[in-house]
Amino acid sequence: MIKRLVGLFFVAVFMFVALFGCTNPQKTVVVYTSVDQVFSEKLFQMFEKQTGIKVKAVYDVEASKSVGLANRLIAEKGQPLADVFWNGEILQTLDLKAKDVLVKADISNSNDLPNSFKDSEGKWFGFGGRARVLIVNTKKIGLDKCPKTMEELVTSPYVKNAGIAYPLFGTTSTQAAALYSIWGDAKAKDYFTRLKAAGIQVVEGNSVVKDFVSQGKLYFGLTDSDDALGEMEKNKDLAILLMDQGAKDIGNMVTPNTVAQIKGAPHPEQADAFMEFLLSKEAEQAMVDDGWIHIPVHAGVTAAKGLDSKNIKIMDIDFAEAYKKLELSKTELEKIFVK
Amino acid sequence: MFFTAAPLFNLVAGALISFGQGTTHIKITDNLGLLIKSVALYSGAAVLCVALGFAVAIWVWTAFEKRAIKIAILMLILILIPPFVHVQSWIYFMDKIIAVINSTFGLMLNFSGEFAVIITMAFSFLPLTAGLCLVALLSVPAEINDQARLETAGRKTFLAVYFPLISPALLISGLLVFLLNINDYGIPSVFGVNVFSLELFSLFSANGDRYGVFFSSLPLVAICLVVLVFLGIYMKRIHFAFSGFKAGNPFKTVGFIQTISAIGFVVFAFFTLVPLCNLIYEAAFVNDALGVLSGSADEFVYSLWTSALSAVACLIPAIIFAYLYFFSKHKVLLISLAALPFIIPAAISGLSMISLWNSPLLHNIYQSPFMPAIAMVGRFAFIEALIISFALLRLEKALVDNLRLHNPGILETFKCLAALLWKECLAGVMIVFALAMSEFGMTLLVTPPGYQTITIKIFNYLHYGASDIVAILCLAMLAIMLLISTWVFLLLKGGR
Repeated sequence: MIKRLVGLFFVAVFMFVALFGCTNPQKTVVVYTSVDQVFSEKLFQMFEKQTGIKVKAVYDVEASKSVGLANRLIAEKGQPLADVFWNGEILQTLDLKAKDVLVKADISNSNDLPNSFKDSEGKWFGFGGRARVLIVNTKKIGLDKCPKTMEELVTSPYVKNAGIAYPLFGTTSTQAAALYSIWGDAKAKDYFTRLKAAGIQVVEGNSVVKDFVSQGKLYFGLTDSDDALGEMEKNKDLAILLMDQGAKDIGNMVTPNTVAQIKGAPHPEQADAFMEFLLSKEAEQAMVDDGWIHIPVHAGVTAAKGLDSKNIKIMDIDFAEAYKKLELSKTELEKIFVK
Repeated sequence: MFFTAAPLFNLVAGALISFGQGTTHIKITDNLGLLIKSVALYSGAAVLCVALGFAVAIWVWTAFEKRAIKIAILMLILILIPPFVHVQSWIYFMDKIIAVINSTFGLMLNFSGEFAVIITMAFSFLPLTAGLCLVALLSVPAEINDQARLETAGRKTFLAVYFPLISPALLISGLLVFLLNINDYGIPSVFGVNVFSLELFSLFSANGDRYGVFFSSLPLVAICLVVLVFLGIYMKRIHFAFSGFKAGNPFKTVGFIQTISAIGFVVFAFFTLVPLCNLIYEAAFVNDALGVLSGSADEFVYSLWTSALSAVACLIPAIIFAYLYFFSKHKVLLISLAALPFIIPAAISGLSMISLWNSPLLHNIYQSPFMPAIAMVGRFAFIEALIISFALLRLEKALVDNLRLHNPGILETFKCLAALLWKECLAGVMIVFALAMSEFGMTLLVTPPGYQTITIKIFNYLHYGASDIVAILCLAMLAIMLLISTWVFLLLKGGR
């Protein structure tokens, strides 16, 4: 019996090596991405079909809130495996730039991008984004009773039936840092303290906010437009509101996608090719059609259904300034929301 | 031993150096309240899991008698069902029940909070407590069984004689459930419950200082070590007879046992039907089930191979540890040190693995598909070491000395020990296989580009809300686990 088991073990090792150990000489590019696999996988397949370059992807998991991948990139800094980092938001990309993980790239498809969507040193590029939206269960509450601005969220009589994700991770932390940079440290801290004291429900992530609102456990909540619009296709009782659209309001936050090349990338040429593809109008249109991007950047890209992207008052945010507030905001918000 | 100990040394050394340089400050939590609340939550889940497991074990013991040991082995194998399958299933099931209650009585209930966490955790680990309790019941010496049968024993006899005999198994299973959950924040956070391990993660997210988080996790590590000491004490009192007994329940007609048996039947029905029915219902919405499965074939194969490889590879450090443990005079210290890779948060261990393995010398291994298996060996070898160590402890010292005398050489001694303890080795392999299949905290950090485990894929689709695709993948996983369990069952010659 023991000999049989030992024999089985060695056969298993041999088969493992045979199945997974052999490398294909085909050209490859390694992409680390925090974008949902259901969206990013399709883009990778498109790229592979067009160029013949195989994409080896590493996906993140919602539970690690993109912190896992970013920390892996930092940990691998000396000997990177990744060629490209495709991020569904921006501040983590800025953090990687600050930690010297990224390298300058010359991408011709970035020439059409607005200056605010490109790094001055050419180390990252932004493209189409997602809006932070208020998802509402209209069976629980009418749209007229919902808060219209971030400030009104605190004073809303229904705040105890509202939800946000922990503002320490993902796009919720990006939004928090953005508010810190626009309002100032004191006002932002006071805002979140009052929000917590008012009894807002703080849940694991944007998808949980979306699920709870859809299930009627919450009346409304802050989430991303891809989560909200995707759920609206399944539940017709849902609606979305854009925040701060008044003439004197700060505007609704839009989080751009970002892409960057890793310093010391094993396949720099293939990395350039992938970044050219991702920053192309064709790729952005595909992401709009799939429901990942709702605020396109390229002219001529057909707008997403369910969101009038041309008439949104977008928050005028300097993400570099927001990044400077990121550590402070996370430290203070950790004390407010986690302890 | 390099796989298991080196990342830990790397982490501790890095933490001490960082502290010495002043780049990390020791920050023991100032939120002891949250720590106590978290311990209470996981303890509650463990206690409920033990109570439900006891009821299920009594039901099997009563209803199946002679075939009970086969059911016990099958039950233990059901631990292979990943916890997230139970979590999703219970959310869907309870939401539907609560919707009916709310609309009937005009209430505003919802399935969230500590109650939801305790229920789902308890059901996720039910096979462990039920299986161990059942084996303990079946291991009661035949003479006691016969005596109880002759004297038409009742409730008092069960409580006075049988319960003390099975209580070490109940306690051990509860402690194991506690240990397996203590670092998990995934299940509590789904239900909006804050726990200490989430605080650790948010601390890490806030400043990226893994050494600071390591220091902050020390109170949790200390609690786990205390639990391990108790585990060690009760493991010595446990007696499992895997062969040679004649199963029999002398209390079948006792009202007290019949009541518990009925409860156990209901519990087991919930345990099997809630995930199964829910998964089948959700899977019915998929248009192209074969397409989904064929598109995930690579992930399934990779997960199975990686988990199997790590589970079998864990045997080497586990048997070596068991041998050292047997002769050691500092057993508590030794087991505490061996447990550290298991009880330190997975993300912190994972980053230490990267800094150790992503070096010029080991880079080729780091980027190879073997890396997750290496990470799993480092994390879970302790579990197999624990099982084999205590199995070895039950052997007479004279027997072990005889083995060494008549089979000189380490290899020969190990071959004989493996022959004596092969059932316990197999149990350890199966448990580590199950843990490795559902692990993602560390796997996410070390899986090489181009590969993905099925667990990570399921989590990604869960987040996206593709519950129908998740259901198909989970059903496929269940089917594969059942095939594996059937194969193991046949390997054990039908439990004989």
